[in-house]
Amino acid sequence: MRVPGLGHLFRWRYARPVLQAPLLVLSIVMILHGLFGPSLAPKNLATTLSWLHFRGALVLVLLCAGNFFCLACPFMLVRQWARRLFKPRFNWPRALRNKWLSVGLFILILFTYELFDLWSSPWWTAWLIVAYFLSVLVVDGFFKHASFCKFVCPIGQFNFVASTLSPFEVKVREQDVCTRCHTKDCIRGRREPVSDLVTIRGCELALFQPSKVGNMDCTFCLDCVHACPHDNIGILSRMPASELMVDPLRSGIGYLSRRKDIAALAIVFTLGALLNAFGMVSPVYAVERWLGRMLHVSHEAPVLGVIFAFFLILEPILLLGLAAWLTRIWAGMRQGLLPLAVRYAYGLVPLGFGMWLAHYCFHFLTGLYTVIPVTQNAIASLGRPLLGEPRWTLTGLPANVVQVIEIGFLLLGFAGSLVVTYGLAEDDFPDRPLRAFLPWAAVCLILWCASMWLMFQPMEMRATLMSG
Amino acid sequence: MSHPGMSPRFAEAKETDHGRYEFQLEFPMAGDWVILLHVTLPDGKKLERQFDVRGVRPN
Repeated sequence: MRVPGLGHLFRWRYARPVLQAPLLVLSIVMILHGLFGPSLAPKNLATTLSWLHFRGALVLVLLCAGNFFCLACPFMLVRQWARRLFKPRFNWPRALRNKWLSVGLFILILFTYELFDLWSSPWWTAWLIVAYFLSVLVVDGFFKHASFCKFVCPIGQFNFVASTLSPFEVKVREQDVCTRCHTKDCIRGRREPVSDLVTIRGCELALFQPSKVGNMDCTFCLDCVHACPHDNIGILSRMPASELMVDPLRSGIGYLSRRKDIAALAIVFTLGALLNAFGMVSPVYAVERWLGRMLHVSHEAPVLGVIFAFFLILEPILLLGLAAWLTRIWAGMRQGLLPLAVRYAYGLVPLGFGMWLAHYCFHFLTGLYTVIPVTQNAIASLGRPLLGEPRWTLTGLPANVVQVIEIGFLLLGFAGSLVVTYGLAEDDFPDRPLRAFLPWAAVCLILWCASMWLMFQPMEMRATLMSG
Repeated sequence: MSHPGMSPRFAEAKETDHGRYEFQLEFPMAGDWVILLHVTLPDGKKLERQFDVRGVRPN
Protein backbone atom coordinates (compact mmCIF):
# COMPACT_ATOMS: atom_id res chain seq x y z
CA MET A 1 0.00 0.00 0.00
CA ARG A 2 3.01 2.28 0.29
CA VAL A 3 4.10 1.53 -3.27
CA PRO A 4 3.60 4.70 -5.34
CA GLY A 5 0.70 4.34 -7.74
CA LEU A 6 -0.44 0.93 -6.51
CA GLY A 7 -0.87 2.21 -2.97
CA HIS A 8 -3.00 5.10 -4.19
CA LEU A 9 -5.06 2.75 -6.35
CA PHE A 10 -5.81 0.31 -3.52
CA ARG A 11 -6.55 3.09 -1.03
CA TRP A 12 -9.02 4.62 -3.46
CA ARG A 13 -12.56 3.69 -2.45
CA TYR A 14 -13.54 2.72 -5.99
CA ALA A 15 -10.47 0.59 -6.66
CA ARG A 16 -12.47 -2.63 -6.55
CA PRO A 17 -15.19 -1.70 -9.05
CA VAL A 18 -12.53 -0.31 -11.38
CA LEU A 19 -10.72 -3.66 -11.30
CA GLN A 20 -13.97 -5.64 -11.51
CA ALA A 21 -15.45 -3.78 -14.49
CA PRO A 22 -12.99 -5.10 -17.14
CA LEU A 23 -13.47 -8.66 -15.89
CA LEU A 24 -17.25 -8.21 -16.01
CA VAL A 25 -17.02 -7.07 -19.63
CA LEU A 26 -14.75 -10.02 -20.38
CA SER A 27 -17.21 -12.40 -18.70
CA ILE A 28 -20.06 -11.07 -20.86
CA VAL A 29 -17.93 -11.47 -24.00
CA MET A 30 -17.09 -15.05 -22.94
CA ILE A 31 -20.75 -15.88 -22.33
CA LEU A 32 -21.80 -14.47 -25.71
CA HIS A 33 -18.98 -16.15 -27.60
CA GLY A 34 -19.59 -19.42 -25.75
CA LEU A 35 -23.27 -19.41 -26.68
CA PHE A 36 -23.08 -18.00 -30.19
CA GLY A 37 -19.46 -18.45 -31.30
CA PRO A 38 -17.60 -21.44 -32.77
CA SER A 39 -18.42 -24.80 -31.16
CA LEU A 40 -14.78 -25.92 -31.32
CA ALA A 41 -13.21 -25.16 -27.93
CA PRO A 42 -9.77 -23.96 -29.18
CA LYS A 43 -11.50 -21.36 -31.35
CA ASN A 44 -13.82 -20.04 -28.66
CA LEU A 45 -13.07 -17.30 -26.14
CA ALA A 46 -15.21 -18.91 -23.41
CA THR A 47 -13.17 -22.11 -23.31
CA THR A 48 -9.79 -20.58 -24.17
CA LEU A 49 -10.00 -17.84 -21.55
CA SER A 50 -11.67 -20.01 -18.86
CA TRP A 51 -9.61 -23.18 -19.06
CA LEU A 52 -6.30 -21.75 -20.21
CA HIS A 53 -5.72 -18.16 -19.29
CA PHE A 54 -7.94 -17.60 -16.27
CA ARG A 55 -6.77 -20.72 -14.44
CA GLY A 56 -3.11 -20.16 -15.28
CA ALA A 57 -3.11 -16.48 -14.37
CA LEU A 58 -5.07 -17.26 -11.18
CA VAL A 59 -2.53 -19.70 -9.75
CA LEU A 60 0.44 -17.53 -10.77
CA VAL A 61 -1.05 -14.43 -9.13
CA LEU A 62 -1.82 -16.48 -6.00
CA LEU A 63 1.77 -17.72 -5.94
CA CYS A 64 3.44 -14.38 -6.61
CA ALA A 65 1.08 -11.95 -4.86
CA GLY A 66 -2.18 -12.97 -3.21
CA ASN A 67 -5.91 -13.37 -3.60
CA PHE A 68 -6.24 -10.51 -6.09
CA PHE A 69 -8.68 -12.42 -8.32
CA CYS A 70 -11.29 -12.36 -5.54
CA LEU A 71 -10.60 -8.62 -5.27
CA ALA A 72 -11.44 -8.23 -8.98
CA CYS A 73 -14.29 -10.78 -8.96
CA PRO A 74 -16.91 -9.65 -11.51
CA PHE A 75 -19.68 -11.63 -9.78
CA MET A 76 -19.42 -9.33 -6.78
CA LEU A 77 -19.83 -6.24 -8.95
CA VAL A 78 -23.17 -7.55 -10.22
CA ARG A 79 -24.11 -8.41 -6.65
CA GLN A 80 -23.39 -4.85 -5.54
CA TRP A 81 -25.67 -3.48 -8.24
CA ALA A 82 -28.40 -5.98 -7.35
CA ARG A 83 -28.18 -5.06 -3.68
CA ARG A 84 -29.16 -1.51 -4.52
CA LEU A 85 -32.51 -2.95 -5.59
CA PHE A 86 -32.92 -5.87 -3.19
CA LYS A 87 -31.70 -5.70 0.37
CA PRO A 88 -30.98 -9.16 1.78
CA ARG A 89 -33.04 -9.90 4.87
CA PHE A 90 -31.77 -13.19 6.20
CA ASN A 91 -28.66 -14.37 7.97
CA TRP A 92 -26.92 -17.40 6.50
CA PRO A 93 -28.29 -20.54 8.25
CA ARG A 94 -26.25 -21.45 11.29
CA ALA A 95 -25.98 -25.11 10.24
CA LEU A 96 -24.30 -24.06 7.00
CA ARG A 97 -21.76 -21.69 8.52
CA ASN A 98 -18.86 -23.92 7.63
CA LYS A 99 -17.07 -25.17 4.54
CA TRP A 100 -18.92 -28.45 4.03
CA LEU A 101 -21.28 -27.07 1.37
CA SER A 102 -18.44 -25.42 -0.54
CA VAL A 103 -16.31 -28.58 -0.26
CA GLY A 104 -19.21 -30.48 -1.84
CA LEU A 105 -19.55 -27.87 -4.60
CA PHE A 106 -15.80 -27.94 -5.21
CA ILE A 107 -15.98 -31.71 -5.70
CA LEU A 108 -19.09 -31.31 -7.87
CA ILE A 109 -17.28 -28.89 -10.17
CA LEU A 110 -14.30 -31.26 -10.47
CA PHE A 111 -16.71 -34.12 -11.20
CA THR A 112 -18.78 -32.31 -13.83
CA TYR A 113 -15.58 -31.02 -15.43
CA GLU A 114 -14.50 -34.62 -16.05
CA LEU A 115 -17.93 -36.07 -16.78
CA PHE A 116 -19.09 -33.47 -19.28
CA ASP A 117 -15.63 -32.55 -20.63
CA LEU A 118 -16.31 -28.92 -19.84
CA TRP A 119 -12.99 -27.85 -21.36
CA SER A 120 -14.21 -28.94 -24.78
CA SER A 121 -17.63 -27.28 -24.68
CA PRO A 122 -17.94 -23.50 -25.17
CA TRP A 123 -21.71 -23.87 -24.70
CA TRP A 124 -21.48 -25.52 -21.27
CA THR A 125 -18.62 -23.24 -20.23
CA ALA A 126 -20.80 -20.21 -21.00
CA TRP A 127 -23.69 -21.68 -19.02
CA LEU A 128 -21.34 -22.39 -16.11
CA ILE A 129 -20.44 -18.68 -16.00
CA VAL A 130 -24.14 -17.74 -16.23
CA ALA A 131 -24.96 -20.21 -13.44
CA TYR A 132 -22.27 -18.62 -11.31
CA PHE A 133 -23.76 -15.14 -11.78
CA LEU A 134 -27.25 -16.44 -10.95
CA SER A 135 -26.03 -18.30 -7.86
CA VAL A 136 -24.36 -15.16 -6.54
CA LEU A 137 -27.52 -13.14 -7.11
CA VAL A 138 -29.76 -15.72 -5.43
CA VAL A 139 -27.52 -16.41 -2.41
CA ASP A 140 -26.47 -12.83 -1.72
CA GLY A 141 -29.93 -11.57 -2.69
CA PHE A 142 -31.45 -13.46 0.22
CA PHE A 143 -28.61 -13.59 2.70
CA LYS A 144 -26.70 -10.76 4.33
CA HIS A 145 -22.96 -10.08 4.25
CA ALA A 146 -20.68 -12.05 1.92
CA SER A 147 -22.42 -15.39 2.39
CA PHE A 148 -21.65 -16.57 -1.13
CA CYS A 149 -17.92 -15.85 -0.84
CA LYS A 150 -17.50 -17.34 2.61
CA PHE A 151 -19.75 -20.38 2.49
CA VAL A 152 -20.57 -21.24 -1.13
CA CYS A 153 -18.10 -20.16 -3.83
CA PRO A 154 -15.87 -23.09 -4.86
CA ILE A 155 -13.43 -20.81 -6.71
CA GLY A 156 -13.23 -18.65 -3.61
CA GLN A 157 -12.43 -21.66 -1.42
CA PHE A 158 -9.70 -22.67 -3.87
CA ASN A 159 -8.30 -19.14 -3.63
CA PHE A 160 -8.53 -19.07 0.18
CA VAL A 161 -6.55 -22.30 0.53
CA ALA A 162 -3.98 -21.39 -2.14
CA SER A 163 -3.51 -17.88 -0.76
CA THR A 164 -2.23 -19.34 2.51
CA LEU A 165 0.94 -19.74 0.42
CA SER A 166 0.90 -16.21 -0.98
CA PRO A 167 3.57 -13.69 -0.05
CA PHE A 168 1.06 -10.91 0.71
CA GLU A 169 -1.69 -10.55 3.27
CA VAL A 170 -4.20 -7.88 4.27
CA LYS A 171 -3.30 -7.11 7.87
CA VAL A 172 -2.78 -4.42 10.45
CA ARG A 173 0.44 -2.47 10.52
CA GLU A 174 0.64 -1.76 14.26
CA GLN A 175 -1.37 -3.69 16.85
CA ASP A 176 -1.06 -0.79 19.31
CA VAL A 177 -3.14 1.42 17.04
CA CYS A 178 -5.91 -1.21 17.04
CA THR A 179 -5.72 -1.56 20.82
CA ARG A 180 -6.37 2.15 21.19
CA CYS A 181 -9.13 2.15 18.56
CA HIS A 182 -12.67 2.30 19.99
CA THR A 183 -14.76 2.42 16.83
CA LYS A 184 -13.62 -0.90 15.26
CA ASP A 185 -14.66 0.37 11.84
CA CYS A 186 -12.73 -2.41 10.11
CA ILE A 187 -15.44 -4.86 11.19
CA ARG A 188 -18.43 -2.60 11.92
CA GLY A 189 -18.00 -0.29 8.97
CA ARG A 190 -17.62 3.45 9.01
CA ARG A 191 -20.83 5.19 9.99
CA GLU A 192 -22.42 8.60 9.69
CA PRO A 193 -22.16 10.28 13.10
CA VAL A 194 -25.81 11.33 13.28
CA SER A 195 -27.79 8.79 11.28
CA ASP A 196 -25.47 5.86 12.15
CA LEU A 197 -25.80 4.66 8.55
CA VAL A 198 -22.87 2.65 7.22
CA THR A 199 -21.02 4.70 4.59
CA ILE A 200 -18.03 2.37 4.16
CA ARG A 201 -18.54 -1.32 4.80
CA GLY A 202 -16.56 -3.28 7.36
CA CYS A 203 -15.45 -6.84 6.68
CA GLU A 204 -18.38 -8.87 5.34
CA LEU A 205 -16.55 -12.13 6.01
CA ALA A 206 -16.41 -11.56 9.77
CA LEU A 207 -12.64 -11.13 9.91
CA PHE A 208 -11.73 -8.69 12.68
CA GLN A 209 -8.37 -7.31 11.60
CA PRO A 210 -6.58 -7.13 14.97
CA SER A 211 -7.15 -10.88 15.48
CA LYS A 212 -7.16 -11.94 11.84
CA VAL A 213 -4.43 -14.47 11.04
CA GLY A 214 -3.45 -15.27 7.50
CA ASN A 215 -5.37 -15.24 4.24
CA MET A 216 -8.02 -17.88 4.91
CA ASP A 217 -11.45 -16.40 4.11
CA CYS A 218 -9.96 -13.06 3.01
CA THR A 219 -11.15 -11.88 -0.41
CA PHE A 220 -8.78 -8.89 -0.48
CA CYS A 221 -11.91 -6.74 -0.97
CA LEU A 222 -10.12 -3.92 0.91
CA ASP A 223 -13.30 -2.88 2.77
CA CYS A 224 -11.31 -2.94 6.02
CA VAL A 225 -8.55 -0.84 4.45
CA HIS A 226 -11.05 1.82 3.41
CA ALA A 227 -12.99 1.69 6.67
CA CYS A 228 -10.01 2.00 9.04
CA PRO A 229 -9.88 5.64 10.20
CA HIS A 230 -6.21 5.30 11.19
CA ASP A 231 -4.88 4.00 7.86
CA ASN A 232 -3.51 1.08 9.87
CA ILE A 233 -4.42 -1.75 7.49
CA GLY A 234 -2.49 -2.59 4.36
CA ILE A 235 -1.43 -5.32 1.98
CA LEU A 236 1.77 -6.41 3.67
CA SER A 237 4.41 -8.98 2.83
CA ARG A 238 4.88 -12.09 4.94
CA MET A 239 6.46 -15.53 4.79
CA PRO A 240 4.35 -17.78 2.50
CA ALA A 241 2.79 -20.77 4.32
CA SER A 242 3.76 -19.38 7.72
CA GLU A 243 0.09 -19.26 8.70
CA LEU A 244 -0.16 -23.04 8.23
CA MET A 245 2.53 -23.68 10.82
CA VAL A 246 0.79 -21.89 13.68
CA ASP A 247 -2.54 -22.47 15.32
CA PRO A 248 -3.73 -19.35 17.11
CA LEU A 249 -7.36 -18.37 17.55
CA ARG A 250 -8.27 -16.78 14.22
CA SER A 251 -10.98 -14.20 13.82
CA GLY A 252 -13.92 -15.55 11.81
CA ILE A 253 -12.40 -19.04 11.74
CA GLY A 254 -11.42 -20.23 15.19
CA TYR A 255 -8.62 -22.75 15.56
CA LEU A 256 -7.61 -24.41 12.29
CA SER A 257 -6.80 -27.61 14.18
CA ARG A 258 -10.47 -27.84 15.27
CA ARG A 259 -11.98 -27.11 11.86
CA LYS A 260 -12.64 -30.50 10.26
CA ASP A 261 -14.40 -28.76 7.38
CA ILE A 262 -11.38 -26.59 6.51
CA ALA A 263 -9.09 -29.62 6.85
CA ALA A 264 -11.40 -31.48 4.44
CA LEU A 265 -11.14 -28.51 2.08
CA ALA A 266 -7.33 -28.69 2.30
CA ILE A 267 -7.44 -32.44 1.55
CA VAL A 268 -9.80 -32.01 -1.42
CA PHE A 269 -7.61 -29.13 -2.62
CA THR A 270 -4.52 -31.34 -2.49
CA LEU A 271 -5.85 -34.67 -3.73
CA GLY A 272 -8.20 -32.92 -6.16
CA ALA A 273 -5.08 -31.52 -7.83
CA LEU A 274 -3.83 -35.04 -8.50
CA LEU A 275 -7.28 -36.23 -9.52
CA ASN A 276 -7.76 -33.35 -11.95
CA ALA A 277 -4.40 -34.14 -13.59
CA PHE A 278 -5.12 -37.89 -13.57
CA GLY A 279 -8.25 -37.19 -15.62
CA MET A 280 -6.17 -36.11 -18.62
CA VAL A 281 -3.56 -38.85 -18.91
CA SER A 282 -3.72 -42.16 -20.74
CA PRO A 283 -3.90 -44.48 -17.68
CA VAL A 284 -7.26 -43.04 -16.64
CA TYR A 285 -8.90 -44.64 -19.68
CA ALA A 286 -7.44 -48.04 -18.87
CA VAL A 287 -8.69 -47.66 -15.29
CA GLU A 288 -12.14 -46.55 -16.50
CA ARG A 289 -12.42 -49.53 -18.88
CA TRP A 290 -11.33 -51.93 -16.13
CA LEU A 291 -13.76 -50.44 -13.62
CA GLY A 292 -16.55 -50.51 -16.21
CA ARG A 293 -16.00 -54.24 -16.71
CA MET A 294 -15.83 -54.87 -12.95
CA LEU A 295 -19.00 -52.90 -12.24
CA HIS A 296 -20.79 -54.06 -15.40
CA VAL A 297 -21.61 -50.49 -16.37
CA SER A 298 -21.07 -48.64 -19.60
CA HIS A 299 -21.88 -45.12 -18.41
CA GLU A 300 -18.99 -42.94 -17.28
CA ALA A 301 -20.70 -41.38 -14.23
CA PRO A 302 -20.58 -44.38 -11.85
CA VAL A 303 -17.04 -45.24 -12.94
CA LEU A 304 -15.95 -41.67 -12.38
CA GLY A 305 -17.76 -41.76 -9.03
CA VAL A 306 -15.64 -44.72 -7.94
CA ILE A 307 -12.42 -42.96 -9.04
CA PHE A 308 -13.45 -39.84 -7.14
CA ALA A 309 -14.33 -41.89 -4.05
CA PHE A 310 -10.91 -43.54 -4.19
CA PHE A 311 -9.00 -40.28 -4.57
CA LEU A 312 -11.02 -38.11 -2.19
CA ILE A 313 -12.27 -40.55 0.46
CA LEU A 314 -10.36 -43.84 0.56
CA GLU A 315 -6.92 -42.41 -0.19
CA PRO A 316 -7.00 -39.71 2.54
CA ILE A 317 -8.47 -42.15 5.07
CA LEU A 318 -5.69 -44.65 4.38
CA LEU A 319 -2.78 -42.22 4.04
CA LEU A 320 -3.68 -39.71 6.74
CA GLY A 321 -5.11 -42.38 9.04
CA LEU A 322 -1.93 -44.43 8.85
CA ALA A 323 0.29 -41.37 9.33
CA ALA A 324 -1.79 -40.26 12.32
CA TRP A 325 -1.62 -43.76 13.83
CA LEU A 326 2.18 -43.88 13.38
CA THR A 327 2.51 -40.39 14.90
CA ARG A 328 0.58 -41.57 17.94
CA ILE A 329 2.75 -44.63 18.38
CA TRP A 330 6.16 -43.10 17.66
CA ALA A 331 5.63 -39.78 19.39
CA GLY A 332 3.60 -41.21 22.26
CA MET A 333 0.61 -39.01 21.61
CA ARG A 334 -2.72 -39.50 23.35
CA GLN A 335 -4.56 -37.38 20.86
CA GLY A 336 -7.17 -39.10 18.70
CA LEU A 337 -6.45 -40.03 15.10
CA LEU A 338 -8.93 -37.54 13.67
CA PRO A 339 -7.58 -34.45 15.49
CA LEU A 340 -4.06 -35.44 14.43
CA ALA A 341 -5.12 -35.90 10.82
CA VAL A 342 -6.95 -32.56 10.88
CA ARG A 343 -3.91 -30.75 12.28
CA TYR A 344 -1.42 -32.18 9.82
CA ALA A 345 -3.73 -32.07 6.78
CA TYR A 346 -2.74 -28.43 6.30
CA GLY A 347 0.81 -29.58 5.69
CA LEU A 348 -0.32 -31.08 2.39
CA VAL A 349 -1.53 -27.76 0.97
CA PRO A 350 1.85 -26.71 -0.57
CA LEU A 351 2.05 -30.07 -2.38
CA GLY A 352 -1.44 -29.62 -3.75
CA PHE A 353 -0.72 -26.08 -4.83
CA GLY A 354 2.48 -27.26 -6.55
CA MET A 355 0.40 -29.72 -8.54
CA TRP A 356 -2.25 -27.14 -9.47
CA LEU A 357 0.54 -24.78 -10.54
CA ALA A 358 2.25 -27.45 -12.63
CA HIS A 359 -0.99 -28.53 -14.30
CA TYR A 360 -2.54 -25.15 -14.97
CA CYS A 361 0.74 -23.51 -15.99
CA PHE A 362 1.33 -26.31 -18.50
CA HIS A 363 -1.89 -25.39 -20.31
CA PHE A 364 -1.42 -21.67 -19.76
CA LEU A 365 2.17 -21.47 -20.98
CA THR A 366 1.96 -23.95 -23.86
CA GLY A 367 -1.18 -22.17 -25.11
CA LEU A 368 -0.20 -18.67 -23.99
CA TYR A 369 -0.59 -16.88 -27.32
CA THR A 370 -3.65 -18.78 -28.55
CA VAL A 371 -5.87 -16.04 -27.18
CA ILE A 372 -4.56 -13.81 -29.99
CA PRO A 373 -5.88 -15.80 -33.00
CA VAL A 374 -9.05 -16.70 -31.08
CA THR A 375 -9.71 -12.99 -30.46
CA GLN A 376 -8.80 -12.12 -34.06
CA ASN A 377 -11.21 -14.79 -35.25
CA ALA A 378 -13.99 -13.59 -32.93
CA ILE A 379 -13.66 -10.02 -34.20
CA ALA A 380 -13.36 -11.15 -37.83
CA SER A 381 -16.57 -13.15 -37.43
CA LEU A 382 -18.39 -9.88 -36.71
CA GLY A 383 -17.63 -8.87 -40.29
CA ARG A 384 -14.63 -6.60 -39.78
CA PRO A 385 -11.21 -8.19 -39.17
CA LEU A 386 -9.97 -5.19 -37.19
CA LEU A 387 -7.09 -7.18 -35.69
CA GLY A 388 -6.23 -8.91 -38.96
CA GLU A 389 -6.72 -12.50 -40.07
CA PRO A 390 -6.32 -15.09 -37.28
CA ARG A 391 -2.75 -16.26 -36.90
CA TRP A 392 -3.46 -19.82 -35.84
CA THR A 393 0.25 -20.67 -35.76
CA LEU A 394 0.61 -18.61 -32.56
CA THR A 395 0.67 -21.13 -29.73
CA GLY A 396 2.90 -20.76 -26.68
CA LEU A 397 6.10 -21.91 -25.00
CA PRO A 398 7.58 -25.27 -26.06
CA ALA A 399 6.37 -28.20 -23.95
CA ASN A 400 9.91 -29.27 -23.00
CA VAL A 401 10.61 -25.83 -21.53
CA VAL A 402 7.32 -25.82 -19.64
CA GLN A 403 8.02 -29.30 -18.28
CA VAL A 404 11.10 -27.96 -16.45
CA ILE A 405 8.90 -25.26 -14.88
CA GLU A 406 6.36 -27.93 -13.90
CA ILE A 407 9.00 -29.99 -12.14
CA GLY A 408 10.15 -26.83 -10.36
CA PHE A 409 6.62 -26.20 -9.05
CA LEU A 410 6.30 -29.80 -7.85
CA LEU A 411 9.64 -29.61 -6.05
CA LEU A 412 8.67 -26.28 -4.51
CA GLY A 413 5.38 -27.75 -3.29
CA PHE A 414 7.11 -30.82 -1.87
CA ALA A 415 9.68 -28.68 -0.03
CA GLY A 416 6.90 -26.43 1.27
CA SER A 417 4.93 -29.39 2.62
CA LEU A 418 8.01 -30.78 4.36
CA VAL A 419 8.71 -27.40 5.98
CA VAL A 420 5.10 -26.98 7.16
CA THR A 421 4.78 -30.53 8.54
CA TYR A 422 8.16 -30.20 10.30
CA GLY A 423 7.02 -26.89 11.77
CA LEU A 424 3.85 -28.53 13.09
CA ALA A 425 5.81 -31.50 14.45
CA GLU A 426 8.31 -29.20 16.14
CA ASP A 427 5.46 -27.28 17.73
CA ASP A 428 3.80 -30.47 18.98
CA PHE A 429 6.95 -32.30 20.06
CA PRO A 430 9.82 -29.86 20.65
CA ASP A 431 12.05 -32.65 22.03
CA ARG A 432 11.51 -35.24 19.29
CA PRO A 433 9.95 -33.60 16.26
CA LEU A 434 11.30 -36.24 13.87
CA ARG A 435 9.03 -38.91 15.34
CA ALA A 436 5.95 -36.91 14.42
CA PHE A 437 7.44 -35.51 11.23
CA LEU A 438 8.49 -38.77 9.55
CA PRO A 439 5.03 -40.30 8.97
CA TRP A 440 3.79 -37.06 7.39
CA ALA A 441 6.99 -36.67 5.39
CA ALA A 442 6.31 -40.16 4.03
CA VAL A 443 2.78 -39.10 3.02
CA CYS A 444 4.24 -36.02 1.31
CA LEU A 445 6.81 -38.20 -0.48
CA ILE A 446 4.15 -40.64 -1.71
CA LEU A 447 1.99 -37.81 -3.04
CA TRP A 448 4.97 -36.07 -4.62
CA CYS A 449 6.03 -39.28 -6.38
CA ALA A 450 2.44 -39.69 -7.61
CA SER A 451 2.53 -36.10 -8.91
CA MET A 452 5.82 -36.66 -10.72
CA TRP A 453 4.52 -39.91 -12.22
CA LEU A 454 1.41 -38.10 -13.43
CA MET A 455 3.47 -35.35 -15.03
CA PHE A 456 5.36 -37.85 -17.16
CA GLN A 457 2.34 -39.80 -18.33
CA PRO A 458 1.27 -39.42 -21.95
CA MET A 459 -1.72 -37.16 -22.24
CA GLU A 460 -4.82 -38.36 -23.97
CA MET A 461 -8.17 -37.16 -25.31
CA ARG A 462 -7.33 -33.50 -25.09
CA ALA A 463 -5.72 -32.23 -28.19
CA THR A 464 -6.46 -30.02 -31.08
CA LEU A 465 -5.04 -29.77 -34.52
CA MET A 466 -5.22 -26.93 -36.92
CA SER A 467 -3.79 -26.55 -40.36
CA GLY A 468 -2.13 -23.24 -41.06
CA MET B 1 -12.67 -33.68 -27.04
CA SER B 2 -10.32 -30.85 -27.77
CA HIS B 3 -8.70 -28.81 -25.04
CA PRO B 4 -8.00 -25.17 -25.94
CA GLY B 5 -4.38 -24.49 -26.70
CA MET B 6 -3.28 -28.11 -26.56
CA SER B 7 -0.52 -29.10 -28.95
CA PRO B 8 -1.81 -27.76 -32.25
CA ARG B 9 -0.04 -29.11 -35.30
CA PHE B 10 0.17 -27.32 -38.62
CA ALA B 11 0.79 -28.44 -42.17
CA GLU B 12 0.44 -26.91 -45.60
CA ALA B 13 -1.24 -29.05 -48.25
CA LYS B 14 0.46 -29.36 -51.64
CA GLU B 15 -1.30 -30.10 -54.92
CA THR B 16 -0.11 -33.51 -56.11
CA ASP B 17 -2.58 -33.95 -58.93
CA HIS B 18 -5.26 -31.84 -60.55
CA GLY B 19 -7.58 -30.90 -57.64
CA ARG B 20 -5.87 -33.32 -55.29
CA TYR B 21 -4.02 -31.98 -52.25
CA GLU B 22 -1.95 -33.94 -49.76
CA PHE B 23 -0.32 -33.17 -46.44
CA GLN B 24 1.37 -35.11 -43.69
CA LEU B 25 0.67 -34.68 -40.02
CA GLU B 26 1.96 -36.30 -36.89
CA PHE B 27 -0.41 -36.84 -33.98
CA PRO B 28 1.86 -36.31 -30.97
CA MET B 29 -0.61 -37.65 -28.44
CA ALA B 30 -3.47 -40.08 -28.20
CA GLY B 31 -7.09 -39.03 -28.14
CA ASP B 32 -9.69 -37.36 -30.32
CA TRP B 33 -8.29 -34.88 -32.81
CA VAL B 34 -9.93 -32.25 -34.95
CA ILE B 35 -8.59 -31.28 -38.37
CA LEU B 36 -9.41 -27.76 -39.51
CA LEU B 37 -8.87 -26.99 -43.16
CA HIS B 38 -8.41 -23.38 -44.18
CA VAL B 39 -8.76 -23.16 -47.95
CA THR B 40 -8.23 -20.13 -50.18
CA LEU B 41 -10.15 -20.51 -53.45
CA PRO B 42 -8.85 -19.14 -56.78
CA ASP B 43 -11.17 -16.15 -56.50
CA GLY B 44 -9.70 -15.28 -53.10
CA LYS B 45 -12.68 -16.50 -51.10
CA LYS B 46 -11.84 -18.38 -47.92
CA LEU B 47 -13.32 -21.67 -46.92
CA GLU B 48 -13.10 -23.59 -43.67
CA ARG B 49 -13.93 -27.23 -43.09
CA GLN B 50 -13.68 -29.36 -39.97
CA PHE B 51 -13.08 -33.12 -39.67
CA ASP B 52 -13.00 -35.23 -36.54
CA VAL B 53 -10.36 -37.94 -36.16
CA ARG B 54 -11.48 -39.90 -33.13
CA GLY B 55 -9.71 -42.47 -31.01
CA VAL B 56 -6.07 -41.91 -32.00
CA ARG B 57 -4.12 -44.52 -30.01
CA PRO B 58 -0.57 -44.23 -28.64
CA ASN B 59 2.22 -46.08 -30.51
